[in-house]
Amino acid sequence: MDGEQVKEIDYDKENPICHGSLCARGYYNLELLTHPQRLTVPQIGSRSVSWNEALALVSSRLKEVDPATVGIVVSALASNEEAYLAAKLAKTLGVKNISAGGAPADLEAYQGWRWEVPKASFGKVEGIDGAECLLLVGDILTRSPVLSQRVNRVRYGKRGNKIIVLDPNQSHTSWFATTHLRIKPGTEALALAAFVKIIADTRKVSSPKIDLEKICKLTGISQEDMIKAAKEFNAANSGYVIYVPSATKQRNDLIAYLSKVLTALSDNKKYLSFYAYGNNLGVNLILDQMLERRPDYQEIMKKIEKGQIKNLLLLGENIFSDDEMGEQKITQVEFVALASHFPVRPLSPTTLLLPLASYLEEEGSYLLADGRREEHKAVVSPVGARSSFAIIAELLSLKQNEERTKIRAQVEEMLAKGMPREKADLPTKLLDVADILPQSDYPAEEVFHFGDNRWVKKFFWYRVNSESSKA
Amino acid sequence: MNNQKDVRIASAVPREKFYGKRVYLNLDLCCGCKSCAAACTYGHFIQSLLAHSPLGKAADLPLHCVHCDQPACAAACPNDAMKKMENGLVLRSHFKCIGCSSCTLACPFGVEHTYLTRKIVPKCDLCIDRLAEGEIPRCVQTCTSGALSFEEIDQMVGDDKQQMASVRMLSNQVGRRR
Repeated sequence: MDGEQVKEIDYDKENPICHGSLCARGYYNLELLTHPQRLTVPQIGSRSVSWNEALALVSSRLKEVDPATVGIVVSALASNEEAYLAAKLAKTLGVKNISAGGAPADLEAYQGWRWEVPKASFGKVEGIDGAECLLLVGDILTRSPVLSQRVNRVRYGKRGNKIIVLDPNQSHTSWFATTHLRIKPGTEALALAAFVKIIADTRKVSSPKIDLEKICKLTGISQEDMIKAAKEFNAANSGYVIYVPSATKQRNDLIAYLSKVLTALSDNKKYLSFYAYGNNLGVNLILDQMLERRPDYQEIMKKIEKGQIKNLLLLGENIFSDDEMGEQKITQVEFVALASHFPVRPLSPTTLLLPLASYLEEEGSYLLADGRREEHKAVVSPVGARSSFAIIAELLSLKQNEERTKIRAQVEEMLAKGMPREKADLPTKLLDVADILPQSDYPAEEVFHFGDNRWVKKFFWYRVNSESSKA
Repeated sequence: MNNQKDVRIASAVPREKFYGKRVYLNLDLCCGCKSCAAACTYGHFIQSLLAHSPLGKAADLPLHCVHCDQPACAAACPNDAMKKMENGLVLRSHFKCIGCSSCTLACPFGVEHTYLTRKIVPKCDLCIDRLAEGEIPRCVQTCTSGALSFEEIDQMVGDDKQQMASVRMLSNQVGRRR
């Protein structure tokens, strides 16, 4: 640190998750601080306005119009406190259309995690080290390269350790697999249902009614291979099912649910998921607890399409990363206020752009994939930009510093309660699984170069840099 | 700004110190995430000093300078920009480099590359600013899979040494730019 300028990233060697390693995307936080394209002044179209003017415009607009025509979307990258304040804003304004943004696949998977499975246990990242068998659903190392240390430890740690990868693509993760089940695109849930059936049969518990032969035909994996892989997983003394939601998978909720069922069926197995959107769990959990009934992201998008939502407040970074259709739908809305780091899409001449503070410029707490809470403090003060927390606090005319400690206590209480559970029944869910057919729109890929990976390319940083270089 | 930083580094490195450690790559562990390249870029003022080369279709490997005892790049340099220093490292003088890419052609391991736009040849300095503070290079610190390690050259024995030799051969075949 040199005065107010961050010079370099230092590595946190004592961090239990990464031991000081950082993936390439982590460096984005450093670049973001002084990125030449970054927003520092609120803008309407290309006209710059002052913060007071911008916030007055938002608050007057939100108070004047009918609350039924207002929609609020909080990015799943926002902190827990920001989600809490956004829910509070919705309550005071009487707005019912509030949801978490982010990748639709992540939001779908969150629904699956809520379905109750007795005996299923949630794992910790550290636990992966000692596991004998990993069942990786999807390309986990692209989403979270820092995990590769632990995957390597399982791979080379002990003779006989297994890494089973369920992925239609030849990817960075499948490179480390001992068994790569190259299923047809979109049939992950089917393959997991087959695993459930095979393991239930070997353990002689009530066998689910599902046609194994048909599943093997649909997934494109021979019955022998499927049985061998499932038995390997079942025979291991300890194991993890790690799952990454993505848009190429069908029915992410069922995949999440079935990976929980698998861990409950087999001895000493745990489940874990990594989201593209860091605080997906935290934001959804808080919104669920604060509001009795809230529409999900897809419902809000439908309402926008129908023209029922005319005023939209979008808080937080990169709400439409995986949802290109959403970007187009936004252009129909009369009034859009968007808090963002960059002047990115969706842009129209009437869009109000509010410069957003980065992670290094604000404090907040996040709920990580394995249920761990992480807090961080501001390293530098933002130049021109404000955090979503500050923006909503201003709209609610709250005093930030006094409120922060109160809010933090309340957020902690909510997080301690945990995720709301919903009752679920395996046979009915398996009926849903049986309806899945392979997707022909997503051809299987062979990804060898990180930068060529479709999912890496969709990441905000890559997109902004490639867009600015084109200009 | 860059030049100021360079002057600071040059004065910060104790001349009497000898750095015998080098960066090694374990091919079995590398997952190709390129975080080493990112660390290098952001550590050296958006100038990546680390070359990457695709190994056929199988992987994308970082190619580290091995800081040879008798560096061919230094012998080939027409302007004395590359030099074998007393501390064991082969370093490039930022002011002397004219970007003729003679060292790129001379390097037997193909780890040097040329910036076509900036007319300079970036050269791994093993993050000497960090070494002077007793830290390890950025690429090794940031490696997500534990594939990169920073070790004394004499401590590599048996399989490790053979593996190192194979990496050299591979980089010789695949990594050579021109």
